[in-house]
Amino acid sequence: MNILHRFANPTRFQRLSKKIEPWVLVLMLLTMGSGLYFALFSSPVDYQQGHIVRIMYIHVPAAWMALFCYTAMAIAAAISLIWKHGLADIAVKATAPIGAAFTFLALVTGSLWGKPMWGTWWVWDARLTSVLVLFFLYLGYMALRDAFDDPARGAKSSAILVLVGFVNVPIIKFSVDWWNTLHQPASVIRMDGPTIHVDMLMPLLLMAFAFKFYYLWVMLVRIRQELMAQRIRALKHRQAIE
Amino acid sequence: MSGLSVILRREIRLALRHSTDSFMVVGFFVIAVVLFPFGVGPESNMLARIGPGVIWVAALLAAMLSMERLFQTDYEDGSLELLVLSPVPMELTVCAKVFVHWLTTGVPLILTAPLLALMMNVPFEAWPVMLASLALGTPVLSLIGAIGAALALGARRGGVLLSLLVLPLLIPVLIFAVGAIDAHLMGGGAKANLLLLGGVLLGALALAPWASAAALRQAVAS
Amino acid sequence: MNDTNSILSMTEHGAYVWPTYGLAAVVLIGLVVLSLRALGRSRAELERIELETGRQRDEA
Repeated sequence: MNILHRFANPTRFQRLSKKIEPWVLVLMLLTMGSGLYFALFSSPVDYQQGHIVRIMYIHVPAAWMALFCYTAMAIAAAISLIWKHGLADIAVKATAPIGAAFTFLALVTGSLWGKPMWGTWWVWDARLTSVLVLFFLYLGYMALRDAFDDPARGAKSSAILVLVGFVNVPIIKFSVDWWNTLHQPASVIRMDGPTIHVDMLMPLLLMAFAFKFYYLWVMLVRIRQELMAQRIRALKHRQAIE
Repeated sequence: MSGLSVILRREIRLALRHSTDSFMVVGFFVIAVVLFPFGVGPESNMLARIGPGVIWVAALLAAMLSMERLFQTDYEDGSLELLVLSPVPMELTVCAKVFVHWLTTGVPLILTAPLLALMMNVPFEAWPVMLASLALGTPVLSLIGAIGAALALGARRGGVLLSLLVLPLLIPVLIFAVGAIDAHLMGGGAKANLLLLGGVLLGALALAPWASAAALRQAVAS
Repeated sequence: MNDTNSILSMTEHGAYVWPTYGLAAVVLIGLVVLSLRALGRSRAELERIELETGRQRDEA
């Protein structure tokens, strides 16, 4: 765990982060740009779905990020609780709004895809319901974190909530396999490999990477901001006692 | 084991002293269900159709109302700190508190349900499944509710926050419980849903004491 | 395979595709803007406070 504790130092982290951020930003813009180009212009029209399939290039990566962010939060929350690691705790706080945003996008773009395809904005099948629960978990985390006068208490309490809610993640992943309802089963991350055509797979993967770089960049920015906020609180506290 | 029985007896004593809490929970349960015929109209077929769901949602909300006081008084007067420090593992203490909470909240709900099923025109043949779903489900409400109560202990607007945290986690309970009743009424078996509900109960029994104890230790340490 | 007109209108499905990309842009850019603004505010506040505590220590 020495690696973890090397980065626990705020000043060292901020220096490192400022060096990495421009590169991550560039990678994000490159993948986003090329992903959008292929998604909107150069990729084929699905013979069944027509142009509607282009929604997939936002919906699927957003859904992947919704799960990815929550998993990252759970790992960081566990680290922060077990090793009392301050930076891991800040990482959880920084990630939450990003995960919530992606979950929101996944839900809404899913509705926009569902209406023309299957005639309905929403259906209460296992996957949609559990993704909605995921959205509530993100919001619940942010609300719980903020609900205490003592920030340390808020941090620890909400970290436990993240871990408790993690049971939802396997449910989301496997719900389309366990229950045969409206949402389609997995076609990319499968044991036998993707069933999707490579012309569609490429913009999909490009957008997936773009969203990952987006997450990394925004998270680094938010961590730096929270480290500054922590320092401000400490200085104010010292001011008050002097 | 003697430490645990002391704690258990204390909880029962406290619960008996505050017996009005149980009446309030049942009162809310009844009023919430009674509102529906006024809200959606008294047409008996429709009431029968939505009855199981309405009863279950009302049970959920009534249970949430009572969750806040699970740890609150002990937290405020310092007993919680003593409980954390006692030789009895906190997880067992939580189990004792949750069990007594279920006796004073869940059981009254189960006993009141037939009256409400009558008011909502739920067919008699569905009653055994309904009671079974409540018997399996209400402990889960107390268990998962305990996690929320422990997490939100001492927070601003703790009661509302607790409900917001816990209700999404209880959606599977609602789905399986009402699913069992509906499946039975439609001729299929309630078994699958009831088994899933039982599985959720076992999962809650494993998860809730551990998570609540961890949260309570955090609350006391601050 | 795709001419510009067809893409911009996307037959009747354009009404679903463009709001999708538009909403994604609004949400993702919005989050960036909020995060950068918070960062700027924190940096300003930190500089102000470090100046003050520095001054306090000089005065003490």
